[in-house]
Amino acid sequence: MRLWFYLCILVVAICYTYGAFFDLTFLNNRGYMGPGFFPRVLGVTLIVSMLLLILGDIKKGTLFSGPQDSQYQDAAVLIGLSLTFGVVLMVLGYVIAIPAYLGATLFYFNRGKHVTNGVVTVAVPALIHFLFAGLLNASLPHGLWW
Amino acid sequence: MEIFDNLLMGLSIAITPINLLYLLLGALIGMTIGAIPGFGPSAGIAILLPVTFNMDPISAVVMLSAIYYGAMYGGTITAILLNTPGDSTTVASTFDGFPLAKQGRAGPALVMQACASFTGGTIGVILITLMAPMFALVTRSFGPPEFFLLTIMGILTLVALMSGNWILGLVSALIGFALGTVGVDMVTGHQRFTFGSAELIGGIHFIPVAIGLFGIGELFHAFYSGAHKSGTGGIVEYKNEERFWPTKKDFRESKFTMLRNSILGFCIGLIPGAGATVASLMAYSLEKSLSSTPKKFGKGEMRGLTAPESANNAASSGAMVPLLTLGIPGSASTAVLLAAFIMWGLRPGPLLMAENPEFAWGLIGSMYLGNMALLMISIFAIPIFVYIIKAPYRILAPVVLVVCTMGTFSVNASLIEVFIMLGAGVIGFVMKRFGFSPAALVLALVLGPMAEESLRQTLIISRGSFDIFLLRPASLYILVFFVAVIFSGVLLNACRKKTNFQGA
Repeated sequence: MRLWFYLCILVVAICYTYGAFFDLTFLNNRGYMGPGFFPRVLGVTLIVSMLLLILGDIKKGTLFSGPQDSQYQDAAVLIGLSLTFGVVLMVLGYVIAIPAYLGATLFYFNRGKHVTNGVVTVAVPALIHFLFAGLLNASLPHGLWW
Repeated sequence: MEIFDNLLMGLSIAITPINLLYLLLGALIGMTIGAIPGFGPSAGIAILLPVTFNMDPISAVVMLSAIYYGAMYGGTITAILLNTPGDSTTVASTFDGFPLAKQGRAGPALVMQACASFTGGTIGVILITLMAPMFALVTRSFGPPEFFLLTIMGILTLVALMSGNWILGLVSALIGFALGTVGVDMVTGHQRFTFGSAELIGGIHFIPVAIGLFGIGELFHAFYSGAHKSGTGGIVEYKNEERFWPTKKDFRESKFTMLRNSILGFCIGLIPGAGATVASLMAYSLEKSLSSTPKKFGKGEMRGLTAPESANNAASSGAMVPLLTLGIPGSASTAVLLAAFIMWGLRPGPLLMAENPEFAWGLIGSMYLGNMALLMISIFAIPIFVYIIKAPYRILAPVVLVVCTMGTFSVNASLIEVFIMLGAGVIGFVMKRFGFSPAALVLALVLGPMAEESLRQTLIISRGSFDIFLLRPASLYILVFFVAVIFSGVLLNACRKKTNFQGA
């Protein structure tokens, strides 16, 4: 997991630096710092720092150590449900997405507590609607289909 | 004596029943808004601005100002209880506030933050009353070189905050700087890393990234560590809560911390653009460097909470000085207040206090009363906020995620920002898992663009010469102060090491 995360950052840093060198100019046409000055310095420093970090971890032998996959299971389920919530929110809006997300999450993590789960699934969306739409007059996502 | 006459007049205006009602209402709404992740003072004022259209200008500005400093108070509640700063100004409060809550000292932490906020706010208002004209004259001469030096001071403060593996901290900060370069280059108008997306032209906003990294990342990490399996709240172990009120030791240790950082915060708040975020960071760093036990910072040290809290509230008062006397907003929140002033036909500037004394001094008078009201509201409302940590984490977590999502969306009505928040949450979880610093990333995201822009403007003014930093008196003074701070820090560390060595 650690190795993959480091590699992800390194790949993004290489792409960022490539963009800074090939799409952005170092100096502008009047000879002052251009839009690429900071990104180039940042990109190169980030790549060097990541390589130093990876080398250091290889030396210490910590690069390949990590917890078992089963330890990630609950966090992975919550992350999956949360990302799905974002997509459902975009497509169907908050009226459907919030109760659906709360219902699904509580069904999985708070098993057997049907009354509590039911109350939270109904009361929280109503409170959020009252607070944001009623009291604060803030905009809420209505979805693409409405 | 003229100052006191004006202040009395201001207090008499602020103390009318209708203005008092608006003041209390604004303070309550501000605290509630500040406690909602994603709603900082600027978003709160902006959303409630239309509500004040039909109000008397003095009542309206009293209410909006109460929302402003109410939100400053409220933002720390989530920073302490949920590790979710409502705004960049409360990021430093999470460093020790959240560990204190985790140790079962959520109640004392919340009471002490209310006292620190009250001290900072009150000292700030006293300083506004006494020294506003003098400070306004000094900061009027500040330009890009001074801004650059101040942001660099903020960034170095950030580096000073990194402990443990410095490369992990450096990588976190560099990622933050890199994210800060996304959007239109303000000098040339060139688009950088926007990939043709209209939503990214304005850059990556701080709020979704901060909520994602701190709040959502913490939720995911708590599920990873199995906190949701316990019967009570997993964020904070409520069963460890021994007492609600702080101890005498807490007050004794923090009294000078609050005083010195209130003055520091006010001075930083006066500088347009620097604001409460830099003030809170500098206060944290100053307190850590002055402490005889710096290793306790970041692990639940009360002074690590009271220092940034008193500084950010004093800075929010300080930011009112350039707004009232120069018409220059010192922060995002005061920029929205400026829009409100203009909406009511008032033009802040050197003549505002002479031409509209009722308005200017009524506002200052209301700030005294507002701070007292907020201290009482804070302390009486704390048990309600502490109560939320009793809820089982497996129920609280999805509710917090939904509130964060709605808060993020409603700031700019942007679904892209919702996805940025969720993505930042996943990254925050992995960063926390492998020892990276989400705080360094967020702070670099805030300070990086300021540093880049001001350096480029400086070099345009000086035609590429760095001598400008030595030739301008204001920047020279900052530079000297800067070098003195670094030098004294190095000396202090050397003395401490020598003492430890001799002690061993």
